[in-house]
Order: sequence, then C-alpha cells, then structure tokens
Amino acid sequence: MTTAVEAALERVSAAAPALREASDERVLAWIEGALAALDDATSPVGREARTTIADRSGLSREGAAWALDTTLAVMRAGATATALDTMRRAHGDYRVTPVRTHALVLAANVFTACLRPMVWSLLARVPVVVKVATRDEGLADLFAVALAAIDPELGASVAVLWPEGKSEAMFEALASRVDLVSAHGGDHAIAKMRAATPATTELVGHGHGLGAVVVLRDALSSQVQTLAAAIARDVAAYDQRGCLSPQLVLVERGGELSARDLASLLATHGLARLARSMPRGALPIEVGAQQLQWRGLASSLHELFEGDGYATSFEGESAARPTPGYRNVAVHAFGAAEEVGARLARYGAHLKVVAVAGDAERVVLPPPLSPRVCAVGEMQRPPLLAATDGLPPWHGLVRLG
Amino acid sequence: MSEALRSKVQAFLAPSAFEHDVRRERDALLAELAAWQAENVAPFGRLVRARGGRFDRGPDGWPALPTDVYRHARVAAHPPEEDMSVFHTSGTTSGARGTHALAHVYTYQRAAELMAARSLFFEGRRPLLMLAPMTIEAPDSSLSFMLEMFEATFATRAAWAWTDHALDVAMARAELSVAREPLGVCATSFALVHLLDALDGAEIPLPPGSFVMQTGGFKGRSREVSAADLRRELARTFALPAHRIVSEYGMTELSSQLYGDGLLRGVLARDGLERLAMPPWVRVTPCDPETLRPVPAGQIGVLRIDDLANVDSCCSIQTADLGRMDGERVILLGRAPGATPRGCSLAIEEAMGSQR
Repeated sequence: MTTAVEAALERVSAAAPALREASDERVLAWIEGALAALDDATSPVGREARTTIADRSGLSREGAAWALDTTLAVMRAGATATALDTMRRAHGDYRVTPVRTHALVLAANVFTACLRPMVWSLLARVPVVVKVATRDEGLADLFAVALAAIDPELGASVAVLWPEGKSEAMFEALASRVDLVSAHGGDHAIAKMRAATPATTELVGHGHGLGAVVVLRDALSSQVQTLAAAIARDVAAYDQRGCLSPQLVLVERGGELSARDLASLLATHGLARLARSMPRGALPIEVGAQQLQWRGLASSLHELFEGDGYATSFEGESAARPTPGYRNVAVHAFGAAEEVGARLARYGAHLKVVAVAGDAERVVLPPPLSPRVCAVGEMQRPPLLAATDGLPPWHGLVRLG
Repeated sequence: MSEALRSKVQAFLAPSAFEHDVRRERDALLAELAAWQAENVAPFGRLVRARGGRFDRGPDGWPALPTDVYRHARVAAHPPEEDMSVFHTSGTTSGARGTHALAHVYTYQRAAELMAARSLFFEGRRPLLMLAPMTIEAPDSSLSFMLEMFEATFATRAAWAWTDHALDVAMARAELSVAREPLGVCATSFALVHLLDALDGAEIPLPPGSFVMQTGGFKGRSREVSAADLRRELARTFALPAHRIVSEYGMTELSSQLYGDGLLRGVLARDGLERLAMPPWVRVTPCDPETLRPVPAGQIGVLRIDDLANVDSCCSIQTADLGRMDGERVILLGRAPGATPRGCSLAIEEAMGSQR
C-alpha cells in the first residue's frame, strides 16, 4: 500500500522540476494535446472514453458522450491559456509559488469530474497523484495516458492510484506525504479524510452538493419551450447524479405560464424529448425503490407528470424534499424573487449552483450561500475559470509570498 | 370506517386462516377494503385516481401507497378526534416521522397476537426479557405496544431492561444470567448491538429452548452490523442454535408482522438467508420500481405489502425495502444492497426509511 503511494509520489516528484521549468507554451500544448486526444473519437483514448468508460459510467452512451463533449468544450479554443493568464493576474504583485505535490481524491459518480482539477493542477505546475474510487470509471487514467503520450517527461508528473485493500490506509499514506489534498465525495467521507490528514497538509474538501433552478416571471412570457428544454438538459445531464444537478425548480408566480404548467411542459416537452435523444442510464433497483416513494408521494399529495425514464412533480409552495435523482425533479412555486434566498438558505454551502431564468439581478442570495450562478441549461458545464465551492479553482495549488 | 367491512376483516383474522389456502378470499377482501379506502382516505384516493387503479383485477390492479406519505400527510379514514392510538415511526436523520393513526387497536392487536402465537410462542408461555421501552416511556411506539401485548398474552413474567430512554445493560445482564427456564428475548437490533458491545465477548448461555427476536435497523443508534453477523454473534453469546435467532419485520405503517421461519421449522435455510413467513391476511409482492408490476418469481423487487389488518389507513403499502420471494416466504434484502456510488451528490438516505 505504502509502496504504491511512495512509488507514485517518487515518480511525480522526480518530474516536478521539469514541470515547473517548462515554458507556458510547452505546458499548454501538452495539456491541450491530451484533451484533444480525448476529444477525438477516432484516437485510441477518445474511442475508449466513448465506449468502455462510457459504459462504466452507468449513463447511456448518448448521455456519456454529451458529458464528455460538454466537459471538453469548456477547455477548447485557448481556454487553458486564458485560465493560466487569469490565475497569474489574480495575485497582483504577490510572489506565487506552486505547492510541491497535490493528491486529488475522486468520487465515482460523475465520470468527467477528474478533468478540471487535473488540468488546474498541471496549469499551476503542481504534480498530481489521483486517487480514484474503487468503482471509478477510468477517465483519469485515460487522461494520464494521453498526457504521457504527448509529452512523456511532463507526463511523469501525473500518477493514478487505484485502491488496493483498505482505501483509508492508502489515503493516510498519501495525505501524509503531499502538500495539498483536494477531496471530492460525500460529507462523511470528507470528514473522515480531514481527520486523517496531518496538520501539515492542506485539505480542500468538495462535499455533498446540489443545484437549484430559479425561474422568474419575466422568463415565463415567451420561449417557454426553449426554457423547458434548457432546464431539462440540466436535469438529464449525468442523470441528475452530480453535485451540480438541480434537485428543485423554483418558479415565481405571476408569469404567463404557471409553475404547474411549467412542470408539465418540463416533462412533456423537455425531458420526454431527451429521453429519446439522450436516454437515461439503467436505474439501479435501490434508486428505483426511492423513486417509487418519491413519485408515489407526488401522486398522492401533489401532481406528478411522468414518462419512461423521467418525472416532474408540481408541489406548490410546500417544503422541498430530496429527490432520488435519475431525472426526477420537483417544481415549486414562490411569490416573489425576494423569497428565493430564504428558500435556498437551508442548503448552505451545499448549494453549489443556481441557474436563473430571467433577470438574475433580482435574485439575492444571503451569506453563506455562494453558488455559481448561471443561465439555465448551463448548470453542468462550469467554465474552467468558474469558482468551486466559492473558491478560485486553483485554491491551494499555489502559495502567495 | 364501515363496520360491516371491519367485521369481515376481523372475522378473517382467525387461527383457521393458517390452516387453509385463503389467498383468493384474502385478495377479494383486500379489493373491497382498498376500494373503500380509496373513497375515504384522501392521499390513497388521489394516488388511485392519478395512477388509474381498478379493484376488479386483484391487488395488482391498484397502486400501493408509499410509506413516505405517512410522513407528510395523515393517512386515515377517520377524523383525528376519533384516534384511539397513534403510532409514530422512530424518525430518520431528517427528523420527519411517519404517523399511523388507528381508530381501533383491536384489529392490530388481533393480527399481532395471532402471528406471534404462530411464529414465536407456539412452544408455550415463557418468561420474556424486553430490550425496548415500555409504552409509558414510548407511548407512540407500535413496537412497545406489541411487546406489552406479548407480556400480557404470552409471558409467565416479563422484565424490561430499559431505563431513561436507554438499554439498562446491568439489568439485562442480570436477567440473562439468572434465567433457568427457556427465555424469550425481544429486542431492537441496535439494543442487541449495545448489549453485545457491553458484554465484550463474554458468553451468557441461555437455557435450551430460549429464543431471541430482533427487529428493526440501526438508524445510527449503534454501529451497523450485518444480519448474518448479528445472528452469529447472538447465537455464540447465548449458546443458541442460529435458527433460534428470529427476525421480526414490521413497520409502523403496517398492522401485521412477518417473522423468520427458523424457529418454526427448527432449522435455518442452507444458504443462511432467513425466510420471513407472512400471515395469511398479508400479501407481499416484490415489484419492478419502474413498471410497478410484480417481478418474475425469485427475482429481486421493491416490496409492496398488502395488509388486511390496516383497516383504518391504507391496506396497500409500498415499502422502500428490497426482497425476493421463495415460494410463499420473503427473503428481505434490506434497503440498498450494493448501493450505487453517490459521490458528492446530495445524500438522500435521510428521506428514506420508516421502519419502526
């Protein structure tokens, strides 16, 4: 266990000087080349990403292809160069020093979630050891292969560790030997990791999260089918399993379309179409048990609009309740934009993204809410420069002196 | 509710029901009861109208009410002022509790008594040790209500090792140690885990013929132990054969209970998986979560339970439990075996769970 960790760290640390001293042009060409290889469906890594890894994701092939394409899209066309430049300029006159080593701990439910933090680590010139989950789909490995193929010297600064035996032991061995741990996973898992991390290592946790959609009345006068289609994209992406997935849709009263009718339209126009063009993946039976409860309760106490592989409910102004995910989403009504903050405050730091349809200026979110605010249809496509949990995406990777 | 219908159900709850194949009569009475409840229990009526239920095609013709509904709405055919007993679920991590209001407890009592007589106490009356609170401490617990009925009906004497909302380990240890005749230990799973932890490996052999009835999950009140490990550890600690550790499966939203059949059969199934026997007035159907239809025999589904004894609320309950049938017996597989990775998506388990 320790040997595997030590070997990985020894390897990436040996590559650290080359990574730090490499020109920006070389680093950007390296990263962009590897991303392009993943983007190319005819390349070996691109093909594998769309077949074996897509199948492991639990998403449909179409769903996995959409996920990969939209994740890579935000890193195309010079986005990495812009990101690097922005990070440099963000620190003004400070002397910026990359930390020595970075351990990235992944959770296995959004198979593309590895790419963004890996890219940021390399842009910041920090060698990274990626510890994947037992059921990881394998995209981190594939990206590491692509990076090594483009530039073997720099590629040595990336290693991927698969759990062997007790995952906790591997984590402890890793956390005690790196400067930074970025941990993705559930709150309980992160709390355990935090407890097992020595004081000399910084841990940046990315725990449980959810998203919400807010539809203001000015967005309900025209183009409502486009609106429903955009919300449906946010719901259907990753089969609503990710921490950026919307768990509820809040609709302001007083628009030309009622919240109830938007719930219906979201099902019949938005999700029904996506069920054909980007079907949901297989429903695990334990989620099915939760879905039965969720949908049955909606039918019993509210109003349910369901189809093959999706459902929306209209639940008036009643309190939001957790959904099982997998394309089941509740629509609630509210009286005025001022109520949104109070409605969402209960989620605190767990609220990671809010998509607003209409005049976003009218939505004021009280502290400590710090979600990314975006347009509907964009929840699952955070730009490379988007803040993560209220922090810059390079947080922890550099020190200011 | 309709007194004629109540009388019909009560007449069905009889020892003779165990002696014959009464499934056809049960299903016919379930249809009659469900049709009446659809007219008189608002959430169930809405569900039936939304899902298009019919009562002339057997129980598969109408939908079952999810247990979650009991946490969000009153499910009763009578007004609150006519409540005779109100049972609450023990709650979930989200804090919401399910409520089951009964206009009469006789049907509940009768169902519980008949099935316990058949499954646990067929060897006769005996001393009982309860590792659970009495109703004076937990007035809204259906488990406490049932255990007090056990005491009144089946016990030569009973001790309750529970003080100030917690297991009284010293008393439990003392009662176990002095047992000289076959004892019945009735307990929640988490209380048993606390006891085992307190005993720290020490053995307290119980007189031959004793049994342990364990029920419920852990819900964060003790460390989690698998059913097989708990059975093994209890059998070792009390020097009992594994088949004398019996599971009771009940939930606040139901009025009937299922029991592991090991005690009755004198042996545990070879695969080590306990089979739960159901009373003849109960129908258990593993369902496909998407189509809501029964899964083919032997396949895993989400358990729907039709319970004739649920006369005051809804007789068709959709649980969140997974299981499969082995003939007329149920193999319970719990809530989420091999749970899918949820990673950083919001934990939703707190929304689930309403077992007593």
